[in-house]
Amino acid sequence: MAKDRKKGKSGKIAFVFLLLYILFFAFAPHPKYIETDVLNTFSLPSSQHLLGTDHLGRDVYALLAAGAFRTLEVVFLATALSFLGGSFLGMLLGYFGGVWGSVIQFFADFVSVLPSFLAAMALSALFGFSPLMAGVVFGVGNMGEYINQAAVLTEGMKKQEFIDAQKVLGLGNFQIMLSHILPNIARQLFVFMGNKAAGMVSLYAGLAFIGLGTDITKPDWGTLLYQYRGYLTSYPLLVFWPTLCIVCLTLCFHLLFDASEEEEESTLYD
Amino acid sequence: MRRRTKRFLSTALCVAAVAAAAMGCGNSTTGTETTTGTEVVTDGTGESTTESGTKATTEAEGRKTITIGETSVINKIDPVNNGSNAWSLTADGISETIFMQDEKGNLTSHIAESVTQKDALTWELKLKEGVKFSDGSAVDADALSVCMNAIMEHDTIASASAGIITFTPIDELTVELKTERETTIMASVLCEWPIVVFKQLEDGSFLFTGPYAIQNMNPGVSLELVPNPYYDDRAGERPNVVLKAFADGATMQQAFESGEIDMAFTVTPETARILEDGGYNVKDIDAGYQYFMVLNSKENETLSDLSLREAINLAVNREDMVTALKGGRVANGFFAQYYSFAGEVEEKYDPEEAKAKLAEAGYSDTDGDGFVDKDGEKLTLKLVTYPSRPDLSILMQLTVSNLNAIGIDATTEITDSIANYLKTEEYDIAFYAQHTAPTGDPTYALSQFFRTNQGINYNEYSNERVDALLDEMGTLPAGDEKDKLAKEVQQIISEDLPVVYLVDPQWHIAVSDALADYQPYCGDYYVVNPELGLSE
Amino acid sequence: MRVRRMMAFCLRWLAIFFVASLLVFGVVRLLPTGPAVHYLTGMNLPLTQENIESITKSMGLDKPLHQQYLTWVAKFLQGDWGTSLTSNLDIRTEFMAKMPYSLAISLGGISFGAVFAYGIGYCAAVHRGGFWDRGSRVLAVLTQAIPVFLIAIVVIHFFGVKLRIAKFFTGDSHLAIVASILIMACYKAAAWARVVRKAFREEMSKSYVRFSIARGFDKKKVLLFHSYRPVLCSLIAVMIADFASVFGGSTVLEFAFAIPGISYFLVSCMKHSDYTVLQSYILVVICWMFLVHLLFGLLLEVLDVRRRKGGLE
Repeated sequence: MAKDRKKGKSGKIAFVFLLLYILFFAFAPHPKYIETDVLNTFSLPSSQHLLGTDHLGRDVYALLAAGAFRTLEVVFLATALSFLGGSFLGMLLGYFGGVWGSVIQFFADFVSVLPSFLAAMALSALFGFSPLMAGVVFGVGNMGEYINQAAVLTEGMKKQEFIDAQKVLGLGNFQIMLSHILPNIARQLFVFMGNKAAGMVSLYAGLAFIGLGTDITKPDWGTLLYQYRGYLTSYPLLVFWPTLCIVCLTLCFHLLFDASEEEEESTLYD
Repeated sequence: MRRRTKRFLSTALCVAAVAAAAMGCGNSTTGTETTTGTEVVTDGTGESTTESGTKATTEAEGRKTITIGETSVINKIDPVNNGSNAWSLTADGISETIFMQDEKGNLTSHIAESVTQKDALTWELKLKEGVKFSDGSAVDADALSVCMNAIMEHDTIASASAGIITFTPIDELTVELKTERETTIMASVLCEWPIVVFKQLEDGSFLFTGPYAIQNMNPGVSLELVPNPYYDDRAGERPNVVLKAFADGATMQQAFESGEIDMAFTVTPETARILEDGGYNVKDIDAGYQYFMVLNSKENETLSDLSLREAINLAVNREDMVTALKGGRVANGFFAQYYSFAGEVEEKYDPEEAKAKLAEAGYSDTDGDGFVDKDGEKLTLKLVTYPSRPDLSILMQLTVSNLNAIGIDATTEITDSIANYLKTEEYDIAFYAQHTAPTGDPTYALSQFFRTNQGINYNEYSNERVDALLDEMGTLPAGDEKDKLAKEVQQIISEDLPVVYLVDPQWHIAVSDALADYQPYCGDYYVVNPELGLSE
Repeated sequence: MRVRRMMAFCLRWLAIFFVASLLVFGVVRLLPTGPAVHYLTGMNLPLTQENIESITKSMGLDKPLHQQYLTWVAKFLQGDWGTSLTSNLDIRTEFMAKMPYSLAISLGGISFGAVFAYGIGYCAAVHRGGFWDRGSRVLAVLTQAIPVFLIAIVVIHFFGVKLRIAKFFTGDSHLAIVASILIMACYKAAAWARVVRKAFREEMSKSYVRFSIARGFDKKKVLLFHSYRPVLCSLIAVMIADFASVFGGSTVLEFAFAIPGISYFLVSCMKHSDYTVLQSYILVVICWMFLVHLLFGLLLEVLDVRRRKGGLE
């Protein structure tokens, strides 16, 4: 049903765009972002400072470029962890149920019960804080949502006739799950992911709010936004740039997973 | 159609019901009244809605209210068993230490007439007549002795300077003080923040002698104060004061801009500039605090190498720091420059000489990555500070830039419990802020940081000459001779570099027009002072 | 059958409670500095061996671990949640005073968010590519890209500083709570509306809807009146997890509006390593989640049963 479906056009564009975006930030030349210049603060964009300077006279473009990797690290780690792990566990739960199902459900409930900011605080008290850890904390913390989603969807699929037919044909459970259920539920899960992924950036920035910061000389987009929040009314450009970066990232995810979906739907009547 | 709509509604209602059930549940399982909205919750000892409080309210009708935004507000009133609560109580104008600093750094007292030495370990404290607690009861020798002995028994910080001091009432206004250790500066000791005068009533509540009394407390959130009618004859002119906690600086700035708070204590340098540009009143106040770096010069640490420490000392650009903080001065020692014992050290900024010192220490850039190394290992320093003084993280960022400029790589970290961190973790440089003369005396802070084996001598610094000078200072009364020794100690420190002096800062506060004349002093030790709101 | 499921449900939550409490209990004892040391530093008392021992004893920390654990859980269930290590305040009193703020913000945000999400999602599904469809997409992108605290700053700046029509910080802070609820509702709605839309589109492809439309019924009415159950099921499935965050999800808003809610309190406790507060908090959250799952489980059950009975007309 969904197998032979092609990715929509905008999905492709988004994918190319995301790739370019990452490549740009990975390979574009970084000026020195640590260098401060207290006599040249809040300067407007110029040939010397492409996007201007911040409250310490640091080059905003350099900061954003240097922050890209750290930001994407959190986003990808968290999303991949919660999507892959969550979907897999959720399918198991939905398909088999039973004792193992209860264990998975228990795990899902447990991780969603613990607010991630608390988990982050407690773990950083134990192991120190890093983007890597934030990624893992958010990844595991969000797994619960994916598990629940995947379980509900799988259960729905399981009731449909064609699955029974496959069983009669003698296909193994895992084979049915992989080749018949997954393709059908993946679409909804992707939509869900497309709507969650970029939110990690703000979540990560929220950690700075409660005082869980990392190395303040090593920027990421969310933390920059947090640092510049006080200048929203006086130097709005400073807030605008990181926001723009995050909006672009969000758009990529969204077009990739939500909008491409839409073009597939055009087969429906309207 | 209606039927369906109803179902929708019922679903929505279900959600609401869950909420209600959950809240209701909370109630029934615990069996206490939940408090909602602004109601105040205090435990037995915390509650202090005393008669004087209510009396003051009735008097206070039509009285102005001044709202002050602070970064945190006390969550309990107990001045003895609660960390630095006594300090907060005094800063908020509720309690008083026996002696206090005035604007010029001199010691005065609202409670004591005089304190005189009888012999090595005995002092006599004469109380002023007619001093009262906020319920009108007298601060006499008995009351004072009871609270002081309670403090000495429970709070080790109070007994740090002269050991446990035993207070014995002689007559109504005379108290005899017996110290465990010899001291020459009893007035300074009695100015230390734990030494607050209080009275505990039978119901567990507390009374104090400051210009204000607590009317209402929402622990950790807000504190409502009314003038203490027994403080002096100007109590009637004082406004009511509300202290409100803002954990986020940007929020406090907005609360000030919207006119909801009359004073923001304190704001960051950038906020100060933005507010100033916006036409608000911004004041720069001498902090009394000093900003400095503690270098981890313990044996076997990277910075045990003096040339390397000298390189760092030469590499930091203090002028830039002052510019970035929008106020203050380049430090010339360990004390604010308005004290007579402030140092006379002249700090230099010279990156070229710093590089030479680095080379002298054996560091050079052999692999061409822009950072120096030695024995094949890149020199990377770990910098650390804490969040409660936001200025420090600015200084830390500037320092990283300065260090990079001479080829030293650096990582940074911010920790909530700096004292613990310095004792237990690996670090190279810690950024520190400390009021180095809260009692108007230089010996205390110098001993704490630089005497061999002292409590907060984190880097195990030891210099016989410094120890000898500190011993001598301990036997001298305040005066030129003591100041001279203090200056000498500061000079030696600037050569040995267990700490690097950075900035003698100014802080910024934003005040509304109503408080345009308000002038705080001694940093944040007396935020709500008796003059607040009195000037018109 | 139903009784058995109910039993299984309760057993599962008992297991969660047990594992979580063990976990918290374990983590606290793994931490480098123990509660006794934190208590002494918090009270300015010297860290001598005798002091540590006497505090350890008075806290019951010298007893065997299983005994400590049992005492702790038993006391918790009896309503004695202990006192804070740093401020000596009674934890339950503090929680009860601060809970209403956080509950109001989170529950309000979630409920309004769900209602908005349902409406927007429906409109977006009906007119593919129409105003609501595009609007919901823009909202979804923006809410992810713009952190809550920036929106809060804009709201305060506009209504508080520029227009001066709202007092967010003084008084009983009800305006701050209303603003927080609305901001949170927008964020929740944006995320959920896409899920609702998706679910409606899913239903549209199903035969019963197609037949109904072919028989001349209005598409909008068919969707609204015949397809709402599966859609609600999807919506509730994504909502449940958010109920966990009732006691922590409003942190940033509480900071931005200086609302003295539970998160505000918790963060300051965490900063001072106040582990007794953390311990009790985790258990409270788990009890709360039990209630949520119970109620929503029943709700889903009802929706599901009706769907099976007569959903396909």
